Amino acid sequence: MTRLRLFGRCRIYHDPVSPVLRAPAQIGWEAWFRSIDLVTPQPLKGEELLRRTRGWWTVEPNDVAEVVRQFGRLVVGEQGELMVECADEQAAEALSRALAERFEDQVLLAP
Amino acid sequence: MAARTKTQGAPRRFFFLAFALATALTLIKWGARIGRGRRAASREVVYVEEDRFGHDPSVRRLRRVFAAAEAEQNLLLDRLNIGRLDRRLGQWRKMALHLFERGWARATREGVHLEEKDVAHLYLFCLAKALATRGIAVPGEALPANIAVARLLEEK
Repeated sequence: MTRLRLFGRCRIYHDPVSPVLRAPAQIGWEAWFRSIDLVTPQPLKGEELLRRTRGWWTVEPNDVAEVVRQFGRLVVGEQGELMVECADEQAAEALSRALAERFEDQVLLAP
Repeated sequence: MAARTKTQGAPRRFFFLAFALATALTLIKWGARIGRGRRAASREVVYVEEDRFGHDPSVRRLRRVFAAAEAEQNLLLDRLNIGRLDRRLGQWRKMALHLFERGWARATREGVHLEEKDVAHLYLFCLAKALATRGIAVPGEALPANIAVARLLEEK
């Protein structure tokens, strides 16, 4: 297994940027007949984190996910980084080529 | 009677064949056009929306700076034969970023005016320094001759 970070171009400055989940989402609850104090921290999955790039990257994240799925899977790294997990280096290189073909230099794989 | 039918049937058959041929050609043309359109659409990069920020001169300047830094970085990596997926790149980039931000801040503090190309050069020097600390020697000719910028990375 090999893991690489997924970068897209910032919509403002056009430099490569990648989302990092700094803290899990805090999910609270509200009900009709009672108050609930419970707050559950909810870590995001890879695809969920990728979807949060909508409006920050120059390309549509769902289109990126579609290409990534053919070669590997989106995961969140130990430090919260958005990463792609591929079976081996060859699959990672094939994904890198596929991303370049589909998005030119707007989506990049990098360590 | 039979001869009459034969002479009347020939133009009909010709008309039918011509019609069938024209229809087939039109269908083939349409099919090719649709196929081309689909292939083109699948290749085309679909941007989220039009560029809303490009009118701002400071944004345009930073875009040029970052693009130049990226181009310089790619040239250096190619020159050193380092692949874009090399595992070590992540650490080197972190180190280079740390030096780059320190160097840029120092230039501001000391009143050193940096042109766009100077900022890209500064990043390149930082990346070279990061590589050097990890035992990868960067030949002098791979770096720009920009003494003012190189000085920003010297220890006081």
